[in-house]
Amino acid sequence: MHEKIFPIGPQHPSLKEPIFLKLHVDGSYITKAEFNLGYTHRGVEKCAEGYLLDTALHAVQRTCGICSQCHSMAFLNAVEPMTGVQVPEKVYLQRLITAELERIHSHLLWGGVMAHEIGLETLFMYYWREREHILDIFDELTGNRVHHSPDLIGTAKRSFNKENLQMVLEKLDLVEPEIKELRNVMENHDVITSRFKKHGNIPKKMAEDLDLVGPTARASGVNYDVRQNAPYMAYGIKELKVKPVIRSEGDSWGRTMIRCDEIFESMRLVRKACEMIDPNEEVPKKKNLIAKGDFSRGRTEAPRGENFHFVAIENNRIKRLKLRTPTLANVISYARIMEGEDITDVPVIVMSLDPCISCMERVAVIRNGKQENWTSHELFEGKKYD
Amino acid sequence: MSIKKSPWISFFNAGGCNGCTLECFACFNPRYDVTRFGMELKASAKHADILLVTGIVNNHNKKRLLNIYEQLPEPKRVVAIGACAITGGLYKGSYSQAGPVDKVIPVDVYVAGCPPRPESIIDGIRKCLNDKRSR
Repeated sequence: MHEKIFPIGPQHPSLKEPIFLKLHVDGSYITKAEFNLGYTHRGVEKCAEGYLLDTALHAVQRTCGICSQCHSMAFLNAVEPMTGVQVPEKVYLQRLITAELERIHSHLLWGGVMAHEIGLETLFMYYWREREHILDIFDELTGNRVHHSPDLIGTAKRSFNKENLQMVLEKLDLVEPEIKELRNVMENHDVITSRFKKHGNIPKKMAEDLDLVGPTARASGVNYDVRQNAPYMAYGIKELKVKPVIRSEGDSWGRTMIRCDEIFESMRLVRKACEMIDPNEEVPKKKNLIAKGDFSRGRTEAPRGENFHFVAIENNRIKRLKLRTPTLANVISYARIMEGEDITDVPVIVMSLDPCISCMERVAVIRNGKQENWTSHELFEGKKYD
Repeated sequence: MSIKKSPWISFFNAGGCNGCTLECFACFNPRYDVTRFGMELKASAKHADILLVTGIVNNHNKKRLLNIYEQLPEPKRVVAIGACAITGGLYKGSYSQAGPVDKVIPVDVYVAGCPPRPESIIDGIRKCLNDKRSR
């Protein structure tokens, strides 16, 4: 038994964001995995303290570059009921369109990076070509490609007109057949099936015990989606009820296919919302609002899972902000699912959870100038999963 | 000469929100396709001519950024991308930051925006090829 330590990161070809993985290997098999975070910790929560609510909304959107709309919606879910503002249905529908397009863009981005990890550069290019069309829609609707920030408290910055909605539908018609073809490639490619199936297993019990969220949990058979279980904003409308995609495999393959399928569900929602929206209606002007009460909570389903915001308010300013992003819930399962896997499968397993490290960096434990590692033993207290 | 004809690019997220990271990678997609300038994305800084840095540098990452800068072969070129990398942006004065990128390593070109569009990132990279040192 010659155990060696194999370090990956913080800057490494297989990682797009800085994370440090310390793998104890026996030959090429992983016996124990530790990981170290905190490389992109910026202190969003502390920075937002003392901000006025309108400013804080912009700060919150900058938590994540991929799912900024979902962060903004979670914050508004918390704040809008406190201010008692009446939000028109059109604003809700506009938010839904942006959020669902964001899910499509996030899953396409993930598909490209996943293909890049296993060396399929051509597939990466195809995925990112389709993603550009979705970014074009954002550019048209909100004026920004990445941080769209179309929201204000109680209203929106602009109202979508007839040409905007027409453009959304045209672009979706353009990308849908291409995305179907990409799904076929993912499903039938020999390299992908052989490297994804039966690797990185998360049984249903483990997913429930660790409180995994989003597509990661749904791939293990957990029927949980905030859009379905606690509908917010326009998701409460009967025609826009979400049917979450559930699979039972629980391996990298299941998580891959679930994201491929979710794109089509999101497309259905966007098309339906475009039909329901009234293009001639104007969104209300921004009002000065005063928040009553001490604290509030809001949650949304981001592309990666449940997104939770806790907001405490004092004198119309943020007193305390707490964000819990989906990756923080999912990333702790790395330590467990990597045990017993081959070291060559690490990039696939890392990416199959679709981590967004920059979004999740909430806390790093540093004592005496040295950062502490999270070990699987500490996280799970020696619990065993079969 | 190599930096003018075929600059290889490495990339480091020093503590950003991912937005600039995505736009940097978007430069390599079929629409913007910087490969036509001979640019190639390299994972290791040891193989690269130009280092793209995004995000405000935090205390934890400062040592890593300096390390990567040392590994970059001469002539070194650094492009700071995004509001956070230039001034600190939203996170200016945060408890965890070690300053914007130019407080930690020398920077040649600044590309502003939150996040900058791929066109301006490509423009920034082209600008750092045209400065006096590379002639």
